[in-house]
Amino acid sequence: MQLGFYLDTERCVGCYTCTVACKNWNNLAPKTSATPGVQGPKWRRVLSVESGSYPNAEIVKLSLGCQHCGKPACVGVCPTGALSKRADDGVVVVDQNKCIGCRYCLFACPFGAPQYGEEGTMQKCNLCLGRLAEGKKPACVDSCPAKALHAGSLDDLAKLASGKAAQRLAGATLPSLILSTAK
Amino acid sequence: MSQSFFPSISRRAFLKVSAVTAALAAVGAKLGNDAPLLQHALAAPLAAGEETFGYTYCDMCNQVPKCGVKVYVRDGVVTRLESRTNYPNDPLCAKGMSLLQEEYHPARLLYPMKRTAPKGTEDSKWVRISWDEAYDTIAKKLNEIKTRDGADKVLFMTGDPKEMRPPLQRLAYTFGSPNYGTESSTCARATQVAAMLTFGFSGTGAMPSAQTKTCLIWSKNTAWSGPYDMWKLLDAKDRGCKFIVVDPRLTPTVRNLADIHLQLRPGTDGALALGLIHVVIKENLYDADFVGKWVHGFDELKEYVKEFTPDKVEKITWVSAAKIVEAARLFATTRPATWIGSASPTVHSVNAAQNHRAILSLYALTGNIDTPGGWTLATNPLPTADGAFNRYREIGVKMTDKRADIKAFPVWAEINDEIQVNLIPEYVKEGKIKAGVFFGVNAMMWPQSHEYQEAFKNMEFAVAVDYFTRPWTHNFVDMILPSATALERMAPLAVFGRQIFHRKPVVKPLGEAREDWQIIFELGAKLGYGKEFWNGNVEAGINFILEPVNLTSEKLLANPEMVAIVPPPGPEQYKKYELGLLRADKKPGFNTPTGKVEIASEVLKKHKLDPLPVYKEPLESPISTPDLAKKFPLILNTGSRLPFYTHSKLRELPWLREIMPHPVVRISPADATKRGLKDGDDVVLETSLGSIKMKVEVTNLVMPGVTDIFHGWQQANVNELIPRKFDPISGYPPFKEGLCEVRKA
Repeated sequence: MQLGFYLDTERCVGCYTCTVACKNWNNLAPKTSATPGVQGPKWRRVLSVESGSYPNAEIVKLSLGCQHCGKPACVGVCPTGALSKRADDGVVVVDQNKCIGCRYCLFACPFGAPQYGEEGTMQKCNLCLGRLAEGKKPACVDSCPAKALHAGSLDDLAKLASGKAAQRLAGATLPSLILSTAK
Repeated sequence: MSQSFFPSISRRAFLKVSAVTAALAAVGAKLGNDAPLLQHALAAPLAAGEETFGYTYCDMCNQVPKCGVKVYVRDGVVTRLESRTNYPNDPLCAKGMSLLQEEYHPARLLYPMKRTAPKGTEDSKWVRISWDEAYDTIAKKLNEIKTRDGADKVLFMTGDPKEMRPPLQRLAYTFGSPNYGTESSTCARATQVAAMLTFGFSGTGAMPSAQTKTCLIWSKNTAWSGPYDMWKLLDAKDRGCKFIVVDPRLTPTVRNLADIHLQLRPGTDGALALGLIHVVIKENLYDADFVGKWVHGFDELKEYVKEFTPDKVEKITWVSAAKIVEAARLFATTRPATWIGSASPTVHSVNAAQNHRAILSLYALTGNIDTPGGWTLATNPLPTADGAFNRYREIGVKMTDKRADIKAFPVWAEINDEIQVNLIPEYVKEGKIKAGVFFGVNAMMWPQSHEYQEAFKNMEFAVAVDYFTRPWTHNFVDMILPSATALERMAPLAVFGRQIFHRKPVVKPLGEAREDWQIIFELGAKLGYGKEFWNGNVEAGINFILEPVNLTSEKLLANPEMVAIVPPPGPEQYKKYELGLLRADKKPGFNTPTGKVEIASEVLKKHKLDPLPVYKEPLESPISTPDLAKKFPLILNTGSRLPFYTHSKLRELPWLREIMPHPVVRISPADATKRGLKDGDDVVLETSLGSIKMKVEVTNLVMPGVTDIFHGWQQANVNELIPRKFDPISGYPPFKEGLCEVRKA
């Protein structure tokens, strides 16, 4: 089984709730400083993709975390074996005891998903494994005000997206992300 | 590529999603870890004890009712939170998700403070005092003024949030002052003035129900200003409801909902509404039966809108004539139809009330009032509605002659219990107000904000209650008091229809913070009204509110979910105007002088104002001030909402501030090219009244010729660029009617 995400781009509104819910649940920095320019690690971020121009302009909002790729580039480049892909669910995780903070994974990832933390090691989205174990959805999915973001096995997500124009995001690393637009 | 997952999709739809993924691949290259530098001081170290949880409702935005929060606590410290399930308003947004960063912020105000430097100096030299000293000082000052000049010389005002409104109103009237006001003087109250004049009830429409076929959203970006409602709208669209969205911007609400987007020039809402009415009347699409029976002023309106042809309205509003016709036909013929208005976009104008009345008139012509799937009104509101508690009908209404706003804004004063506070500088200069008690008030909410700072400074005494020291405002008051947060307080109740939610404080207040209601109750007792304020006991006050529904605070808290559902006395009823349920005299009709929907307002006529919803060009515009427009060619559109800040609040929270670290002006790619600007450049935003420094964001969100600016940045307060001109009916300022230019800094 491969776990992943499904984002309905006809629903995502770019409200950043997923980003902040992730920080809140996973206790991420920045914690006390609101100094302009100080940025913390973002396990999930929101992108705005614009095209066209008035009066035919388009803005697509995209909420992106780690895609838990089928062939994760980060795992391949890690010199210490700190990054691994779990056999049973395909979730890509970092072993903090092995990571040396060289950031090769960050450079290798097409999405910049692994983040360098203040402890000097890499950290990243782990699909909220703790919440999954309690039968809950990941914090980003659970918090989505537009109900645009879903997590689960790719097969189940594909069923959820059926009837919509959807496809698994293309890429050499086989991202476990399904994107859809309207019917 | 796993196209095989989805064999059934159309070629066009597939191309659309392919375009998104291609665009994503292009931006993917730019992504990286943008933050290797971190400051890492844990505000609330994770403790090892057992994790428990509690419930509260969020106050990070200024809306009522509020979203539910489930709060996890370890050893008395909040560790994290999530949306509360099985609660009427959910889920939380990014702001609510940051509640614990506010709770444990190192700069939180935790003790009562008095200034030891003169008001208006940069460093107030705050010195900690005891609550007793604070209350004694306030009571002495207020009673002194009351004895010498009259109780009405004291202003009681709330800003953000709204939770302390009922008790402060009660305190004002009990003390003897009719001068109670709120931030609604620049927010939503003008829409309510317009609705009261037109329908005799207030409101900004209704969410689509299962029956609704068309929904007109007028200038509301629900996706960002009320995210908890967005999924409901998207679900309505999935059910087949058609959406018409009026907005100058290509917002996510427009992008994800609109079947027709009416992208108008800011400030021309009135003209657009009259243009739509023109089509509806000309093509006989209105509900003739409803109009014949229940509308007052139809013939005058018909005559007035003759000139608002689609072609003419296209020239005024920049919306194409074809779209105006298409939208008018869809809205008027695809019933039941509802509408959703916003708090303020249509009324941030010196023609506020009339602009909004034009929209309401359009709605009235379609007859969708209080019908299933239309704009429904509550049949059985709870008898706990704060009318009795705030003592307006008992005392406040008898002191009308002493209202500070009675001469300047007589229509507002006739309709609203709270006063219009936008003339505070004048009230202070004229000696009508000599002291102020402020809860969560920020001087940045007004145009020419510095005049309000000056007015606070010139009061004999002013005290402010807040979570943080906010120099922009507090540099001009005598004393500041620490308020307990939503995680630390009990009052007020949260009421949704006939459901009443209560809460226990989730954690103890930090420092000596006290909840707003407690501060007001204790101050009331200190001022000599111990009986009226239950000697400072908040729970006793809540019990007073709950009496009519035979509940108590204790009973509510005994329920595991701290909720009670009060059964309605009868079934939901529609078309209440036919049943005699809208008027005090129980006669059929609307609660207006004529008993009808007053497109021609008798109240306005009485006050010698135009009774029809007439259009006026914005104060400054390419049409009204063409010479000024040569120098300042861009429309100054301010006051829009962001999904992570509320007005001037929340800039101190790290999780939110990293999303937008600097004040931003948004302009279109076309306008950026013309000025040689690129995204992220430092720019100067200039109007005839001055300039501020901002970063430019180049985006399709705004159309060419228009800007989009969020307010509330103290280092770039756009309200300083807005003139102090006010709508004679509502007293509203022209936040969306200016002209400006943007150039490289």
